[in-house]
Order: sequence, then C-alpha cells, then structure tokens
Amino acid sequence: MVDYTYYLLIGAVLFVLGLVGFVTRRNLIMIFLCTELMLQGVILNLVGFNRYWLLNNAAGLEGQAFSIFLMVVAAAEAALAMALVMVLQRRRDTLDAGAFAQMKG
Amino acid sequence: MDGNLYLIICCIIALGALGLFLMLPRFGRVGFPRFGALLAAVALVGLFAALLISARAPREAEHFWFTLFGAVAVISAFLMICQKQALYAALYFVLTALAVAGLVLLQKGEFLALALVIVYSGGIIVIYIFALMLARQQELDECDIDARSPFLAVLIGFFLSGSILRLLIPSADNIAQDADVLVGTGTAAKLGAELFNNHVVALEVAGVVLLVAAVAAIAVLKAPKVKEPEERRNLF
Repeated sequence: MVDYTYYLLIGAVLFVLGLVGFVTRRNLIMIFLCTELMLQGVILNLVGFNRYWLLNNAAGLEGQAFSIFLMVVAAAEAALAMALVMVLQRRRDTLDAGAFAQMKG
Repeated sequence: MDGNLYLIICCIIALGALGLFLMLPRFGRVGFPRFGALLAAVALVGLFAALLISARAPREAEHFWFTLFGAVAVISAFLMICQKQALYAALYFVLTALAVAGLVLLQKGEFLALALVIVYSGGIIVIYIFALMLARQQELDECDIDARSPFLAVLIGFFLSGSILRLLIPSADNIAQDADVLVGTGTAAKLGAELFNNHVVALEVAGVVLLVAAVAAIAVLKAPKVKEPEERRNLF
C-alpha cells in the first residue's frame, strides 16, 4: 500500500505549480486556471488525510465531504470569474492582467 | 523518509524548478524550453524513483497506478503553466483533473473521483473554453508569451515545496496497516450519509452559494456595456 504522504507530496507539487503559474502568467484566464490547479492539490491533500484518518480506525469521511464543498467553491468561482473576465475584456480589449494595474493603490 | 532522502528530493525539486524556469515563456530573451523540459523530465523520473525505492511497504499494483497517475498529473500541470495558448492549457488541465481523479480513486474515494471527473472535466473546463472562445483575439497577445518575474516565482515555489516536504517527513510512520478497513469507504452511500448526517447546514449553504454564483454571473454579464475611451486606456 502506498504511503499516504506520497499522495500529499503529489498534492503539494500540484499546489506549488499552480502557485508559480498564478504568479507568473499574465493572461486572466490562465490565472484562474492556475487557481483551479491549486484546488486540485488541496483536494488530493484532503483525501490523503482522510485515508490516514480511516486507517487509524476512525470512522469518518470528513476529508471527502470537505472536498465536495471545495468543488462547490471551485464551480462557483469558475462561473463568476469567467463572467468578470468577459466584462473586463469588453472594457479594455485585452486579457492582460497588467492592463488593470490602476486598481493598485 | 529520512534525512538522506530529504536531501535527494530537495536536489530533485531544485532540478525541476530550474527546468520550469527555462520552460516558462519569455519574450525577447533567449529561452531554452527544450533543455528545460529535459531537466524537468529527469527531475520527474528521479522523484518517482526516489519515492518507489524508499517505499518500505512491498510493491503492489497500487504503486504502479500511483506512479502512472502521479506522473501524468505532474507532467500535465507542468505543461499547462508553460503553455502559451490558453486553450491548450485548458486541455492539459483536463488531463491533470483526470489524473487527480485516478489518484483519489486509489485512495478509496470512489464517488469523489467520479464527481471530480464530471465537475472538472465536464463542467468547469467547458466554462473556461466558452470564455476563451468568446473573449479570444486571433493572435497571441504579449501577455501570453511573456511570464512575469519567472525567476522569483520559481524560487518561491522551490522554497515552499522544500518546506512542505520538511513537514511531511516526520509524519511518514503509518505503513503496513490493514488495508481492508478501507474497502467501500468512499461510496456514494457512505459519503451521502456523512454529508447529510454531519454537514446538513453546510450542504444547504453550499447549494445557496451555487445559486447566488449563477445569478451573479448573469447579473455581471447583463451590466451595460462600457467601453473605456481610448485616452484612458493608453494612460497606463
């Protein structure tokens, strides 16, 4: 049986890759895709800890239940974020996040 | 995992970070994407070799599937964040989501794995592709081919993954446990019982959140079309 920390490791790698993409990419749609990648890493983490929990003779599926809520958040975020991206793109004719730099103080 | 393995994996992650740095799209500077891809591939092979060699439990079919799905997930995540075309990135994300669903399935999350496939590959990615088709200009924009401060980002990623790893190491103690307790734990019946017995309020709130998000998305898009005047757009 594969040790649960290995799954956590894969989850961490996915999260860090998503973070690096989030920071470096400048396309708004790519930025939101990278947040989804980070959420995938978190889902792997939750499920991995859930298995550890079950193996230690605790009956509970909290980790998987939390993953369901995480998917709800991801779906809501995707719908709203894409609507916002469409509005922003209409305003400036570009998907470049740098075009909206005036929002910083 | 002991100290030696930690050092080896840190070196492997540094190699992968260097490969990622070389693979990120850069405008106007000379990049070595192929060399970076080679480094990243070597790092990936090294990572899984180190993990499998250090595994104290006997080899089973799960090791094979873990390696396969884990490698697919990491490779497609790599290619996704290095992709210039956002559409291809979205398709690589589908591959990552499928591999993550496989990894969840290996951990006895049967219902969750299927839900992941349906929601991510079926729902969320369709929204992204629709947005891409509606918003897309014809040729690659400057923002697609130029990464913002890739060196700093990769450095931060290296330190973050190194420190996460440091925290993972002392906890690697549960092996060779009885796997039979896991059989059938993640089925729809069990997960449904968990959700509706212990998280009813949260579940209802989640439904409301989804409804509000759907209404809000329509409301945002229905807002009157404002196109900013040219001189304001060129201010920055």
